[in-house]
Amino acid sequence: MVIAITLALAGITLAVATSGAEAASLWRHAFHIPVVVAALRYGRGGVLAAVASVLLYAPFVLPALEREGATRPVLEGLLTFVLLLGVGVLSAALAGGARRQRTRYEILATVQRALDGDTPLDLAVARLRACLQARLDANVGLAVHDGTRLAVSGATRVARGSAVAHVLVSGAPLFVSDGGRNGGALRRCFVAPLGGRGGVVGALAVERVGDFAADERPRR
Amino acid sequence: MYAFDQPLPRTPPGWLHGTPVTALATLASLWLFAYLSLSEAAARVMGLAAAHGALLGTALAWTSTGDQRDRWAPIEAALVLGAAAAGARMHPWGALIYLAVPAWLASRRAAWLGPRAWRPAPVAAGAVFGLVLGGHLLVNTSLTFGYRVRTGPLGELAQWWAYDLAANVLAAETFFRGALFERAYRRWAFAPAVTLATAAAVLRYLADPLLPHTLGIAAGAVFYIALLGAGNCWLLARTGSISPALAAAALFFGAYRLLAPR
Repeated sequence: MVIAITLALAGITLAVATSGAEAASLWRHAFHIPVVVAALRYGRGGVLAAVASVLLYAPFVLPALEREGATRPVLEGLLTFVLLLGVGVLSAALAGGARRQRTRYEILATVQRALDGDTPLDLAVARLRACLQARLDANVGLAVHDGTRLAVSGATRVARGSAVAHVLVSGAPLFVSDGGRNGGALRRCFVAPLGGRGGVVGALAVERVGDFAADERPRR
Repeated sequence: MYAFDQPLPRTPPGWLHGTPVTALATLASLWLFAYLSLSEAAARVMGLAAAHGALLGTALAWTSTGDQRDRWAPIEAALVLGAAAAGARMHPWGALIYLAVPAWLASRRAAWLGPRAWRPAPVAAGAVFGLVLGGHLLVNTSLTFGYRVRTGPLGELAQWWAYDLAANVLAAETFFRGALFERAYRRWAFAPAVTLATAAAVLRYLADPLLPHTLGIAAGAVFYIALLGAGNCWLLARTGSISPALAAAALFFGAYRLLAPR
């Protein structure tokens, strides 16, 4: 697919060049196709394809701006830059959101299977963590009250003053935007309380190097 | 896991926390004095030292781990930059004094310029990015009427490259990426953080008196500085180091200095 997208970008650039219309070439609109395809296939790859399209189209617009000034075709060309980048970012965001929604349904089905039957709590928590971690592209930890003790999976204990300890006490979700750097990139995490009839029965921690989309974070 | 093992981080300090206000005010006063009372050449040297020193020093102060000396970093940076700029004006080889700026910065912040900061793979990625953008700029410019690509005089090009490496690139990348973007990214998601840091960098270059203020040049500056800035923010977010961004910006500006009016 990468080769097809690359060839499409090259072909469209050739079409713009041979059309003779430079910045005003109608072929410029065709750049949207590989951008949307890249976003649907690779998510953030759509942004990369949009940047590549802008770089390939720019030699028809920026020199024309210097030679002719802000003529109508040049302004339309500049507007095309904005549109391509906007379409790339929006398509990538929408494709990412759709992918996350699909993952949610998969998680629901898997969680139901993992907790099916009369499973001991420690085993259920470990299974739940394994199925969440495999699908969330993140490090997952769970702590669940079992009478006076805590069944913990993903860590050895809940340290005093930690994010999980804080959520177990407060019952409110918590997002930590700066969890320090891990191998260079910034680590972020959120902890969501697990509710039961008696109040907070546990906490779920999800940790990732990089960003969490807005629809991935717990709401207050 | 961090959420289980580590204590919750304290609330981040305010946006302007650690800003070296006194040092910046002193620099502004000195620049104003130079502008009003000294010759144009001396005022230019003072202006360059004050502007780049303010960016470089503020970047050090914002990322300080508590060293009291960082409060005066803008003055220190301006002194080193002023000596370099004056040397470059007085003698063709004087631009070599610009090498003192990265040496001074490496001594103050080893994490930015020390030997450990230069991991080969991320720096190579930054270098490729800068070369692609610089090459694109040269191709674009060869299609214009007003500008051409030059290969000399070598002495003049070397002076510009020395200025870019030690003042322009160093000050911009440490402040806009190493300090401003880093501060925003620790609070916000990548998209708003990159927008803030890149918009600020674009404004800084549009306000630069060294940039020819024509429509074509301004559009080109916005286009390339925005791409360079966003790309460098991504490199910093991925690697946690500003060395790839420094490599990218150095090579891009290296190509930019090859441009000359026809």
